[in-house]
Amino acid sequence: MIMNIKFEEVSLIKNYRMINEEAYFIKMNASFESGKMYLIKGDNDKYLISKLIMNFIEPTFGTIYIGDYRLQRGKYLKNIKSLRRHIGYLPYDYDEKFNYKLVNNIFKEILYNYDYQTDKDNELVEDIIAKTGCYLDYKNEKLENLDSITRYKLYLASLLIINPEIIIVEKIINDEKIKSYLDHLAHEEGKIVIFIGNYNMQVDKTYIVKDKKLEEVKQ
Amino acid sequence: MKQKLEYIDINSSMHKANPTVKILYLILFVVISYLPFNLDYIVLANCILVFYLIISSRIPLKYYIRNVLQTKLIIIAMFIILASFRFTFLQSLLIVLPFILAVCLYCLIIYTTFPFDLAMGIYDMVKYLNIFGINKSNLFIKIYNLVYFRKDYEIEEEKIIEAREIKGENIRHQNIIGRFITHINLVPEVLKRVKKFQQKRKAVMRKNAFNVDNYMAHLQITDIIYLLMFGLLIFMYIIKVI
Repeated sequence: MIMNIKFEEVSLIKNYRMINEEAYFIKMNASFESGKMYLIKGDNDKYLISKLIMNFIEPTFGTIYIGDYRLQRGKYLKNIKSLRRHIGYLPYDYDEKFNYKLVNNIFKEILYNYDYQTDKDNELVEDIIAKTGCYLDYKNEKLENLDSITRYKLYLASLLIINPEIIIVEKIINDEKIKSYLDHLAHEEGKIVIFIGNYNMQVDKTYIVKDKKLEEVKQ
Repeated sequence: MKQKLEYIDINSSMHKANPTVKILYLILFVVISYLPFNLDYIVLANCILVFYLIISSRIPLKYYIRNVLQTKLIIIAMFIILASFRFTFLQSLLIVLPFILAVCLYCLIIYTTFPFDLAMGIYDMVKYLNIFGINKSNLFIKIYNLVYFRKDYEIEEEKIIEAREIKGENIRHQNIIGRFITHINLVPEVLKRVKKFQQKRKAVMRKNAFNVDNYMAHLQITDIIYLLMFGLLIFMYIIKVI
């Protein structure tokens, strides 16, 4: 399934028409195509882009097209779960947000929520764990005993287990296995990989949040 | 992005007012409004005085109306209960109106006072408790955490909801009953996180050798004038009723 993302004249304004109005984005245009890797740089407002794509916040004006889905202000998406099924999103504060004790639970929750067959659980988890390069006894391991890199890999693996079309990563670690796997997903399997953060890395297109807009950086 | 009940940074006389005095306004307003055997014109004068304070805050009335509308069920219930005791509409209004204005005054305090100053204001009112051996700075930190509790709760709840939605749960797009049940179910987890966060904040403040004596709020002339006006209303009540 092709899930291209297109931001069309998207504005994001907090407290619109209020005394304490605050604009984050004004008439922003951008597009993210399948099979490419993107990097979004800039100030802290760049993290709002992933929230817009996930529909955690609605744009004040404009439309966001994600495949066949249209995200607009006041447009109630009844099938939001089916949209989010296509998006794997790893926030920058993942360690704080996801609060698990057992490694196994990281995978169980997402598989349960997306109605995966329980008899195939183990196969899927073992497969994704091997692909992301964290070799451990995931069924019995406690999260507090693991180092931060393994935890990162596990959280990322748990999001990739449902095979999303769009992968948004807000924290990047210096790990060749992860990098090559994400590269493989984008260029071989045709997925959209979006990195958000002020990193220097080789991608197909780089955007920068500037003057409340997303501007393409010429390479 | 919803408008939240939080500090709004503009320049008005109410923004400059002493936070302790603003809390005193609220206490005095509620006390004067609900004194036994009160006279109608004292209640009305009290309401007019508070309405003037609301106007002088320079915050649009729609902000207050939105918050009052959130208490509409309580207001309707008050009218029904008063009607069942055979109160006329005007009599009921004189009881309900102070409640509405008290909500507005509470909003005014939040809108015009920075949370740290608000904590300072509350601290100034209760600081004499340290004669019982309570450490001043510890008392302030407790008040500070209390003032921030609502905001901390909202932030932590938001984080949990977001984390669950990333993992495929559907929370914000449920119907009203579903959302309500989810929020109730989240309470223990959120409280646990808030407690942890506030403990961290406490530790940071202690580590930075926070000393409450370094901060002081000054009294403005307008504060004294408004306080005197409330005092006048109490004086009138004493003369006329007692």
